[in-house]
Amino acid sequence: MKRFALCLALLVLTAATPREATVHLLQGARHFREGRFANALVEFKVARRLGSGGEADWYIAASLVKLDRAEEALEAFAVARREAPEAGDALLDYYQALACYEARLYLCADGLLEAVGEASGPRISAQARKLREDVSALFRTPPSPASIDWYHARAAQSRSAGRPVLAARYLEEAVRLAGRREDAYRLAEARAGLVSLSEREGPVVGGGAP
Amino acid sequence: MSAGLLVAVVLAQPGLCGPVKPESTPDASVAAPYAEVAEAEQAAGNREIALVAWREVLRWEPDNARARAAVKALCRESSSSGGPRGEAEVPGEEEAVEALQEGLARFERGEDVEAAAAFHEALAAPELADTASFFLGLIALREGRGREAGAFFEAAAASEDEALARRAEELRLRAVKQGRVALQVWVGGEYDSNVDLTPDGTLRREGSADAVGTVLAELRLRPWGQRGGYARFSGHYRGHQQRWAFDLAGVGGALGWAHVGTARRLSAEYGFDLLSLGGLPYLRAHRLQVEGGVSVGPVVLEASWALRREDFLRVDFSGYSGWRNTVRLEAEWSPVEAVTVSAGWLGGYLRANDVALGHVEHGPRAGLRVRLRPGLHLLGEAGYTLRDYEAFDEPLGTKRKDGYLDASAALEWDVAPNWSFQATVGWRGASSNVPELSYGRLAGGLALVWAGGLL
Repeated sequence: MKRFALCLALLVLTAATPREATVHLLQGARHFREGRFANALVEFKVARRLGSGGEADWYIAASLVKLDRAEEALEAFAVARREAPEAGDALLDYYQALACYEARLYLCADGLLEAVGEASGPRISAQARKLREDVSALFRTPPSPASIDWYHARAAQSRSAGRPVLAARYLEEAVRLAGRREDAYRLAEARAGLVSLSEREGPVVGGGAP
Repeated sequence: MSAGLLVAVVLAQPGLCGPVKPESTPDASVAAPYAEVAEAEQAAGNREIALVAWREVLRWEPDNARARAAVKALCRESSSSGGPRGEAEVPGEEEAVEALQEGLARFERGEDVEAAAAFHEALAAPELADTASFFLGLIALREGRGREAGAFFEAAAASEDEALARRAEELRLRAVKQGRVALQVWVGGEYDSNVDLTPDGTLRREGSADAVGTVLAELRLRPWGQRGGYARFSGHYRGHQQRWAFDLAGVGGALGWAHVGTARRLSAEYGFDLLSLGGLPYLRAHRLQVEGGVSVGPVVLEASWALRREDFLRVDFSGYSGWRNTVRLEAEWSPVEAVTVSAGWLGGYLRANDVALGHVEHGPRAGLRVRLRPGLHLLGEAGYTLRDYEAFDEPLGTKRKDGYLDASAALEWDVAPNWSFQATVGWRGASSNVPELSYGRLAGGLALVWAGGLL
């Protein structure tokens, strides 16, 4: 059902897209619907090269989620939000939430899933509720300093690997987690890191955040 | 899921390493963005996505050599890493050997389309892929697809078979210079010890040495590859440092047809040349030429005949106008792979307006071509021409009889994919029964050449 909904959304969005790109967007949607996510990813990437604009990035990101490439998906979602914010919808937010979840950005996922609510149909809503319950279970107690350290470490690794968007996602998660502790463990450091990324790497903070 | 496991899962999908069913109407423009995606994904290490994209390239452009090589490599990587590739989908060794043999047989018969299909099938067997790539390169070259031929030869050049790899590398360097539309630009300078000669090479004045700069451009059109009709257009300018009166400029063109088979080739063309000397009209020439070659065992026999109507447009040279027949016979043999020797005979007859200038000439020729390494060649040629003038020359008081000993050597070096460097030196020793007409001429120079297929 969620695959069908993705295709329907795609059909609506392709109205203003170059014809060649539209062909590939629709072909990608067909692959996606039939579970051939690698083929779908290729078609969406071709569509983007042919001028589909940012909307293809949403579907590239969704395909990457299905291919278990969560971190790349998060980067693709950031591009999509920046390039074609109007093309997003509740279903795509759900896929982004999955990407966050897979990348252990649980509070990122929770925020997106909350926004998904009932807007994406009963089945997705049920799955979103289930995921939120899982996240909630993870945070019955405040996060440990060690877990926050892990996010800082991932942010540093991502940044040194030239992936500032991903670094920002991990630091944003670190901010959220610190906010759940009375001592606000490394909160200032995380915020400073985000400011630094904004200043040095361009508009990476917030652009991909839910 | 780990990346390796993901690759394995994707490659296990039905048909991912198996044959690609091509579209009924191939379209390279559709294939192009898939190739871009494939390149990017492969560069990022996303092998499974790259493989999917490369297969789409092949679906729309079945002859894309880069895509074939990439699919083969990705499937081979998966196989060697122990991934559960669908072995049954890849032709077995026996089938691949049969495909290669069929391809060779078809290739020998000149059935290129069928041969290419068989070679493509043989590509799936890693141990035969280099040989299949080599012959696919030859077919692409024959059909004028220079860039694609280059990609096939590049794949074959990685062969563990050293002889095959050397030959493939040699052809790869040649392929980048060819195409259905190909351009060659030649820029060089030389020293010429004697520029003041008559149209038939007779000495006019001693001590006319000069430095010469030459630029030449030639556009070749072969819409159907090496077979079928072709056209050639060229222009050149040869300027002297001091003796501007001998500056030579010319334009020319040719229309022809060629058949190139495995063991035989035949071509016929009409050509036209227009030259100016010292800025004044000098020569207008029409030419008909027929050439043929046949392989007899290890020897290649070649013959050509040319009939040229020459009209000299300057009064002082008008006596040389007339009909010139030229016949060339040659046999070529390679005793070892890197060396080719040739021997032949050249004959000519000029029926000139001024009967005293008409002559018959003939003599032996010998040549040597050594490939020092792929892209570096040494060439040598020597010949002797005996010329008998037909009529008694009243001013000279004798019936002239000349002899010409010519020797030349050249070094050709491919310094970059489309660039080559040439160094040449040549000597002519002219003797005559009129002692005043004997002379020696030394010429040598350097040149830079760009040659490339535009389409």
